[in-house]
Amino acid sequence: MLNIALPTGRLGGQVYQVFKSIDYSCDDFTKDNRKLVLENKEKNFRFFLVKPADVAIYVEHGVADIGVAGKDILLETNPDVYELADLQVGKCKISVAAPKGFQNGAIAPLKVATKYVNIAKEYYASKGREIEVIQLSGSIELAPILGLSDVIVDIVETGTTLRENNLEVTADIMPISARLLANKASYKFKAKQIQEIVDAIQQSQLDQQKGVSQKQGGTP
Amino acid sequence: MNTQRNKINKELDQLAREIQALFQGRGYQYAPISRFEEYDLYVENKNFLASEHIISFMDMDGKLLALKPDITISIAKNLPATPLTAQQRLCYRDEVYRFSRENREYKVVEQIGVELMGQLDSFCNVEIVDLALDSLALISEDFILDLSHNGFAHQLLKSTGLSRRLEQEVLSAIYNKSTHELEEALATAALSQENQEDIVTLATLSSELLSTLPKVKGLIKNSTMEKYYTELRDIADALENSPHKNRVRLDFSAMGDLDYYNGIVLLGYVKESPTQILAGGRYDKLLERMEKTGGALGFAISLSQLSLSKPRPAFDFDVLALYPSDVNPAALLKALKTLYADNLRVRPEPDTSQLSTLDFTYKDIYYFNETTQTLEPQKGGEKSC
Repeated sequence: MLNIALPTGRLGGQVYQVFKSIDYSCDDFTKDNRKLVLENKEKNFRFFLVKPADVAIYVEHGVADIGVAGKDILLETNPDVYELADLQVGKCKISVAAPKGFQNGAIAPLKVATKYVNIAKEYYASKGREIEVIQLSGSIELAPILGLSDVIVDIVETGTTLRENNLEVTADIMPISARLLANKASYKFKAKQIQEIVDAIQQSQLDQQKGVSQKQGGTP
Repeated sequence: MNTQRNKINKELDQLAREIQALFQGRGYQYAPISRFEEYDLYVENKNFLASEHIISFMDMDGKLLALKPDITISIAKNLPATPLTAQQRLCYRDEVYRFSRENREYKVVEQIGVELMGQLDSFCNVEIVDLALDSLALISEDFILDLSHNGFAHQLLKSTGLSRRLEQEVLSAIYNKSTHELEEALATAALSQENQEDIVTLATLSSELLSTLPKVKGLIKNSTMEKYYTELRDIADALENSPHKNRVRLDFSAMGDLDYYNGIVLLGYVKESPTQILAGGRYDKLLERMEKTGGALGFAISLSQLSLSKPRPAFDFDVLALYPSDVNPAALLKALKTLYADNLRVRPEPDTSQLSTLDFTYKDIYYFNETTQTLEPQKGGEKSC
């Protein structure tokens, strides 16, 4: 039985569609219920639904053989897992945002509010900029508004929340998307089934790209 | 629903003794290692440590000491400075004190391992791989040994002229088996199509050693790589008649730190453990750093990781033996000994104890019968948490 950890929430819905497209589906997933374990006995796998930030932990500890987590979580926590594929969903970016008109002085340490402490530290270290990190777990946009920080480092998808709070992106750090992870030992002992999933996902992505380019090119 | 992996069934200590006996049977002698080392030893060799976090303390003479985070460094330090006239085959079973990235706390990790140092020849690689396989076979019926070669991989990347930054990105992608990240990194590199394809081939190799060697041969660019390929081929040839030959996979994601390993690298997995339990390889650079001549090969097995994979007993004790408070102690001891002789885990308690308040679990309750002077079972005594 292959155990697959999927993230809950909006990303989970998108990731489920990827698995469904390669014929890994569970009818219960789309039903309005609170089940956290969904099993497909015919195909010999089960989905665990876990908090997005916890997926990599389940995979690293081998409770889940594979799972899907955002690249942001992987960069922040650096789990000892294989990262087998970019699912091309949940696309967004990690950016620096500040109140409109903020002037980034070079002398005093920059106060940075974020839940991505390691990413923020690494980014500013690469710029040679001294910072003071303020770790928050949510509503990051509030920090510069209330004077808790100068800037924030956070995920930006559409930028609507930033605009509504009079903030603007001042730098993009990196693009983010959902990644397929595998426990290293599971990959050794269930290599065939896991690699089949990776190949099917990559083939599905290629088919989609072909479909898009055919549409754009006007070919049937 | 049980999502637990199969469990290591042997008693851990028995297993460790079997592995120790295996090492000694192959000519390895116990290395004397002290629990503490001077802190400077690790400052000078921090590139060879998994983490810079070390528990240090001042001794009575004001000398800064450290609880050792690594055994190999201590063994290498203890080697004589003069060139070794014979190969040193050393083994150990010891504890190291390491910082856990996940929990952000120090952990005691028990390891058992071997080190083979001195003028190493082509047999040494074969010997160490064979010993690693036989060690894994003692632990589990289902195991895999990933084999790679840092020297070969490093030479291939060097031959393509990748920049240092891109080399790091490519290595990270190989290590994580991320073909998508590899493609991204290579897309920004000005490499020939052939060089790109060679790197992708290296990154995606993951199969039985024998069947994979022809592909490795196709990647050879220079005489150094030819030499490294021969090392891999020698291992494959030597394992031809081994019952474990199909358990060795050539997989370059098993590359170790390039600053540490310079030859073969080994990572061992057993089905019962979610993480690797054996790691090792050739690490001449450590000896070089310590200005000692010769090569070094070895591997360590994490007994602590195996202990995490051991089954938890369903009950803390097999028997809760209840006795009256005015029991004859000699008679009770005699009765208990008959249960001990049956390898039962027995917890004696006076029968005045309130069973509902006991903070352990047991399978059966036995009562001391004062007439027969024996402990007799009462059915239905099971208590679980």
